[in-house]
Amino acid sequence: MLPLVILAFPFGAVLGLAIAGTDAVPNLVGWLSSSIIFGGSAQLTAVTLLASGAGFFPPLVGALVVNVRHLMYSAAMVPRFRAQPRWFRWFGPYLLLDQNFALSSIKEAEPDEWRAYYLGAGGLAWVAWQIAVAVGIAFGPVIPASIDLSFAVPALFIGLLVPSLRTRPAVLAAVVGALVTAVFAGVPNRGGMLIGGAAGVIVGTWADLSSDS
Amino acid sequence: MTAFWVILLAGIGTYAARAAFIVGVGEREMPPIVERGLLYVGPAVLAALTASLLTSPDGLGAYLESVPEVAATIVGGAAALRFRRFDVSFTAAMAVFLVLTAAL
Repeated sequence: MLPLVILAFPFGAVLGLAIAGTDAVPNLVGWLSSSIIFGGSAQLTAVTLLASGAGFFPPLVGALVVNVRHLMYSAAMVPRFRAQPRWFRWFGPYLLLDQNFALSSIKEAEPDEWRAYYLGAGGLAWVAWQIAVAVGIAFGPVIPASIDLSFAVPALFIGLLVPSLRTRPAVLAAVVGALVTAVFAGVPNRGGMLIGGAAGVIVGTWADLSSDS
Repeated sequence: MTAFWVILLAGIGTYAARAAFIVGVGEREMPPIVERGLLYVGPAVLAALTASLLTSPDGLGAYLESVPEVAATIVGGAAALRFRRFDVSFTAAMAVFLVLTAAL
C-alpha cells in the first residue's frame, strides 16, 4: 500500500498550490475539501474553476461530473458490500476513491478480512491525503519539477489490473474498456472513461453468457 | 462563502455517487444478468480509468508518440503478468519511464 502514500504528495502539492494561489478559496476551506470531497481531481476542478471566477454552479457541476465515475465503482462494489454490516455500507462509500477501488475490488478475502483491508487502505489514503494537501498549501512544490510523476498513477493501476484478469470475459471487458476509452479520449471530463467502462461491461457480460451456451 | 458551499455540495454529491448502489441495493439480490454484469464492472472500469489517465488530455495519438509512456506501459504490464505483484510492476514501469524520459 506504499504507493497510496507516496502518490498523495505530488498530487497534494499540485492541489495545495492551486488553493494557496487564489483568494477565491480560503486556505482552510481548500484544505477541508480534502475531507469533505476526498477526491483529488474533483477538488482540483472545483478550486480551479472557483479561482477563475466562474461563480457558483460551474465549479459545483464540474466537480460532480468529474466524480460521476464513482457511480460505476459503487455498482461494482455491491457484491462486496452485501455481506457487510449496515454501518459499513453507509460509511464505506466515503472512502471509495480511485486507489481504494483499484485495490479493494480485486482483493479476495472473507468479509471480515476484506472490510479490514478496505478500511486500512482507505484510511491510509485519507490520512496521507490530508497531510499532503496541507503540506502543498503550506510549502508549495515538495517534489522537484525535474522528476515527472505523471505516469505514477497509471503505472500503479496497470500493476493492479493485469494480475486480476483471470478469466476470458474479464480480459475482454478490460481490453474493450481500455480501447474504447482511448478512442473517446477527447470527450471532456473523462467522459470517454464512462463510455469505455460501459462498453467493457457489456462485452464482458456477453462473453460470459456466450460461454454458458 | 461561495467556495465553502460549492465544496460542501460537491462533497455531498460525491458521497451520493459512491453510496448510490452500495446503500441503495444493500442486501437485496438483483436479476441474474445484472449480477453477472457486475463481475465485469471492476475490470472494465479499472482498465478504462487507466486508459483515460494515459490518453487525457492530449489524446491517443500523443500517448502513442510518447516512447517513455508506451515502453513503461509494456514493461509494467509484462512485469504484472509475470510476477503478479503490483509493487514489482509499479517499480519496473516507473524505472523505465523515468530513465527514458531523462535519456530522450
